[in-house]
Amino acid sequence: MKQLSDLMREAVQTDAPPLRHSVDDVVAAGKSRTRRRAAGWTSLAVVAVVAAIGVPQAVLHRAGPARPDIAPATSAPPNAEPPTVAYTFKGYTAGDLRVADPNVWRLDLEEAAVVRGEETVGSLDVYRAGVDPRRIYHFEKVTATDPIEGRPAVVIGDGALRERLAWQYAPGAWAVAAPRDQTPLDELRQLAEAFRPSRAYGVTVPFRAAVPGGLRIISITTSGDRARVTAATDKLFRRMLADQDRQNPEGAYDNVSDGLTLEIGPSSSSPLRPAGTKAICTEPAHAQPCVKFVAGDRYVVQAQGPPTATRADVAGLLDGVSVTDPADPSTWVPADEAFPASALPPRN
Amino acid sequence: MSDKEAEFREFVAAQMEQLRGLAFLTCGDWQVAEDAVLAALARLYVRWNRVDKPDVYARTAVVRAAIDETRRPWWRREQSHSHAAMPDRAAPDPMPGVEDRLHLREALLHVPPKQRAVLVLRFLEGLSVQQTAAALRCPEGTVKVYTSRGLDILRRVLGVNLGIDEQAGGRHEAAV
Repeated sequence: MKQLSDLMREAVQTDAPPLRHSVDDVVAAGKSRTRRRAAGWTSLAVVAVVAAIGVPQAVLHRAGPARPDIAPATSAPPNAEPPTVAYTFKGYTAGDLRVADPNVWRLDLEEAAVVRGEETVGSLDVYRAGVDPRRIYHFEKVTATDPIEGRPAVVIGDGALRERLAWQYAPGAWAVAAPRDQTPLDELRQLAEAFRPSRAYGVTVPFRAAVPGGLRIISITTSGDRARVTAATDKLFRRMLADQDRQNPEGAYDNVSDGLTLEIGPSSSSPLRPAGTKAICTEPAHAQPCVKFVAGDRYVVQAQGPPTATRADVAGLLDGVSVTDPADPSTWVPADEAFPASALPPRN
Repeated sequence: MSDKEAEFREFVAAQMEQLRGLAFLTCGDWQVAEDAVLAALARLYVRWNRVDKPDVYARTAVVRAAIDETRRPWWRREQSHSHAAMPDRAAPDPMPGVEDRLHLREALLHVPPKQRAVLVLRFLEGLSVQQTAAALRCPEGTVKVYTSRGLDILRRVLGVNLGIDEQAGGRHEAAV
């Protein structure tokens, strides 16, 4: 009879593929992290934003030249009031580029896809007042450029890779046009000049759920007929709010420990198969995530709660979820109707 | 190169593979495991002068990062995970021992992430209840409960009785 410890050792020693990273890679990543910390930044937050915007990790290792003066991210933001769960701009066209309606709402920003023809070529990230992308991208070259609509603007990155255009769209409030490719700066400038904030309108989702007390929503992402809502503990929520750039000091926006993630997507995206109308959990022994098939089994709602939540807690939460038609956004409901007030950012 | 950097390099060279194994059994994907190790060691580099027990720090950071990976939304996991992930089902055994290992990995996937981390720390790393509790920053009672529940699941999934042998030094040994 083999010992469990022997089996585990064999499992990691016998079938392991070669390491992809060397000691030099680790040291380079450590040095990069040191530089970011020296500038007063939590590097995980940088990685989170980098991941959200799709910056190649390789650029993290490039040292940037002198840059415009930027306040260090050590104090509370000038506007510490949490944002309402609403979008503040709408899609528009600028030359050959089209900005879609925003589909990402987070404590720090709203994001929309930038499209050329049928192809998504980048994103427009509209940060909340007080969040400064020059801090977020401080590991890159930041160069002042001609003002946009009379307000400061900078180019982030350089022509060797790709350049983003950041500009103040309102006093103390920045937006970044972040292409995936080498979209010419002239086009980004055209996109920036055409940007206008709109009257705020509610972020909508295709389901209602009784998010438990003690959890606050920090992000909502939708994509076609899919949606994902992430809620953090009150404690983490307050810490994020106290961060000048509204980042998660513990990691990325979509990786919240002790929080709750609710997602809806096509049934085919789940490894589980429909089995009645009740919520089910991965069998035979996974405590979480749990899922509930909805809309005639065409869609599935998944819930991943904190480690302390029991399977019954999560299944109970899912049993209380009701859905609209995920394929028809006109049936979606505003977040302040979909979730209890306790789950929304508090109003002062 | 400073003496400190040389020390760090020596530590990484000695520990990286073992840490990746720890992360792999916790998250179930070699590529994700290595990414978790890289991130944890980069954090350790920054704190190298201030960490008394770098092996303990690295182990904790790696396990926590690997647990976090298991909590990612499934469609994100589908997009990013490598083809080196654990197989869904154990294949016939072409070589002695292969089937045991595949069965074990498959069975571990049925154990919730934190319980899995407890089992891996205790049985792969040989940590005591106290050391495991410190690594996962949870009460010792939780480690005991998670060990028991995790072993129950392994027994059920593997369909065999696990022999439990409480050895000296707090090591909790199990056999299959």
